Amino acid sequence: LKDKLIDALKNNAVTIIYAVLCILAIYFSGQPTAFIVTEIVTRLGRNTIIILSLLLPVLCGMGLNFGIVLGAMSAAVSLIVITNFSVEGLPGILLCFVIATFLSIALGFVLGIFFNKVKGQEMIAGMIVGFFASGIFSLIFLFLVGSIIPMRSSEILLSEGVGVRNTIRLQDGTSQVIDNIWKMPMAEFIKHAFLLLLAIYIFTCLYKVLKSKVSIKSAILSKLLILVIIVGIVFLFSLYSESFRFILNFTTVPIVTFLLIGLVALLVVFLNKTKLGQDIRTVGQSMHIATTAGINVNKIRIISVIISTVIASWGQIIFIQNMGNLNTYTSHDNVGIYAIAALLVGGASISKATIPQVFIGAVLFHTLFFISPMAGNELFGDPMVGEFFRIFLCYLVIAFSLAVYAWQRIKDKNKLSA
Amino acid sequence: MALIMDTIKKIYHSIGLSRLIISLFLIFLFIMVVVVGMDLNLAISDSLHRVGRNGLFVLAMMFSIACGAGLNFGLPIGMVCGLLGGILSMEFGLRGFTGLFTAFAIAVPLAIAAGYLYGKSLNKVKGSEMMVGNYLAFSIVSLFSIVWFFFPSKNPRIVLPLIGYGVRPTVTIDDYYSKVLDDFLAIRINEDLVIPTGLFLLFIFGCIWAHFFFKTKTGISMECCGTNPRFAEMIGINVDKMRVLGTVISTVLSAIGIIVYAQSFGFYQMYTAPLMMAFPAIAAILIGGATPLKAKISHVIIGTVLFQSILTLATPVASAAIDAGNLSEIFRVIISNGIILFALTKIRRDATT
Repeated sequence: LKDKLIDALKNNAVTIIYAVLCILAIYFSGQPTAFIVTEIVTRLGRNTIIILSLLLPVLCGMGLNFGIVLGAMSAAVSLIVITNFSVEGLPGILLCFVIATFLSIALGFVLGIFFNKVKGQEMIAGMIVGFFASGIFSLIFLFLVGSIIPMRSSEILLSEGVGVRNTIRLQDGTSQVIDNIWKMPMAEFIKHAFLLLLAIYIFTCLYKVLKSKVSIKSAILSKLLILVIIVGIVFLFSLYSESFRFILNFTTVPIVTFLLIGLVALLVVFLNKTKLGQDIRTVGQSMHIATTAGINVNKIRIISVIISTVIASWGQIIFIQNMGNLNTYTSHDNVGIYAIAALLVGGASISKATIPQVFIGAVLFHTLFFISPMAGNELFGDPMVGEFFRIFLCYLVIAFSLAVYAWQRIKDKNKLSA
Repeated sequence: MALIMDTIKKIYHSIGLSRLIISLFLIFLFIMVVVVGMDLNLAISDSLHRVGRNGLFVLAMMFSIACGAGLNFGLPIGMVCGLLGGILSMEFGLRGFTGLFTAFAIAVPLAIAAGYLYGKSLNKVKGSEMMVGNYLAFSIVSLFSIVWFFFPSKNPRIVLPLIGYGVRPTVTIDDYYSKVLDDFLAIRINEDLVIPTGLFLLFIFGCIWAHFFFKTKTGISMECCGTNPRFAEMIGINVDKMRVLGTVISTVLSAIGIIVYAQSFGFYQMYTAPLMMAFPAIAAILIGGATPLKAKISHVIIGTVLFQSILTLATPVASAAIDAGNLSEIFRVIISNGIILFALTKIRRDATT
């Protein structure tokens, strides 16, 4: 058992260190708990879908998809389009989803074909593709828009009439439109979430026992149980502690945004259970075995990149509608790096990633992300230190995970040949 | 007729597709400069300066490729050492060549140590050097952002105003040792056209040294590690040691390179400035005809000249065509990354044949 414990600590070192840093930073920042809870919920809402987009390429053995930047660009393009034609509110965002989906299918297809040409180097290729595409994006929107491509709205153009502004404010009707559809105080949200989870849990238990005749014990002890217990504890705590309930009610939860996150997560789980998902995992294990099993490896890889790009574009739309404005030339730059670091912080590796890791990573990474400038300000009198520190950690986590993975692979290879 | 086609084909193959496209583009730009009526003198002088500034980085790239560690995305690690040396020498108040050489003297041992550790870690992650090197360099550059922020400088030229410690984002070198190399034996042909002789002497000296290095036993063994590591292992070369040596030389050259770059440029750019500085060097050597597995000194020289000339000429031409501020920056991003992407597609083909 002791060995097992040490192993578990070793394998989750990144997650544990991050959790400790989060707690320390929260402590030193001196911010009220209510504020922290609000920030975490907001950031979880706007960042999780992008992280979910990374899962399929990981399972397909292509590593971390740095190319999701293309998805983020599709989102930016579609947001510029709807702002240009002033399609406001919910119809605007829906149109945005449609445009971004088509655009990212096209870009994902091209990316997939390219990845097939650089098998084994997908990560570095994806990263460079991101830089390259960012250059093309700037070229188009700084110099071609307004001069060659006509624009309807002069508001989003720079004063000379050529090029799009650095920051585009979404129209009032579009900003936070998804978040605002249905909001709920957090205490209430937890109550409903607990009841819903409990219902789902009981239902699945019964379903398993009745339908597939597994033993009652194995049906009860599922992963869902852990989630039910955690949410249950929070719920009970909120019932009995007045101050805790007060803190929770300080925060409102954008229900539809979280429902969308849940839907995308379910979509990924569902895809994983289909024939396509099976093929993806086979390709991920070994392209050679997959080929002999009659799977069209290249096609499967392209499909998983396309899905990844599409999900990333949805995630970026959610992100930007929450922010309320679009930093035209920079918003997509760090999308890939932050999402990847978050996933790795959650305990994923280059070859393995799960949905719970997405959520754990999103919470830990983004908590430290917003709290570290504040902690830096309290400790050193300057928020810049915290900002440098969080970027440093972000890069370090990626470097560390890449190194550990490469090192492990060499060790395995040596073991095989010995 | 067939003979002519054959020779054309041969010439085409020896030039290579990427070099051909870039050369044609460069010729096009030159014509455009004349058509637009730009001052050719200024453009040439600017190109020469840029070539001299960036040459050492590209030479550093060659050593990394030659020893088998591939494209060195970890170049910023050496640059950080160089920045530290340069800032310290200014902190000591040294001027002229004394200042410059003190900067070298501080930077080189640091770069040797850093390059050694970096090379050792690259040996542990064979096959993923580019990715690991890139993110290792990114994290070291951002770690040093914190170091610069707390750097206890007393020099009013360096220190952050109002705060009283830390380094400014841009440190002006001015009368310390700005342009000492550029002006060394500089040849003034006319008002606008100046040849920075000292800058070139250093670059050419580096290339000649590299040329003779690859004639020595160590150099030949290193080249062998790069082109065929398994064969190198078989004939008793310590491949890992050679890779470390190549990485150390690469890191040292990039440390010296950033000081040379800064003295010509007139500023030290601190904090996140070195983050992306490996990419132009990578693009330059690839344009010169190198692959991620093989590089020669001719690739270094051709690549630097072609790439930097394009960047210099693109700005006036583009701004004459459309009213544009940072178009050359965008061009740099597109060309350099496009070239790297093109090279990545060729890695596998090379590996299988």
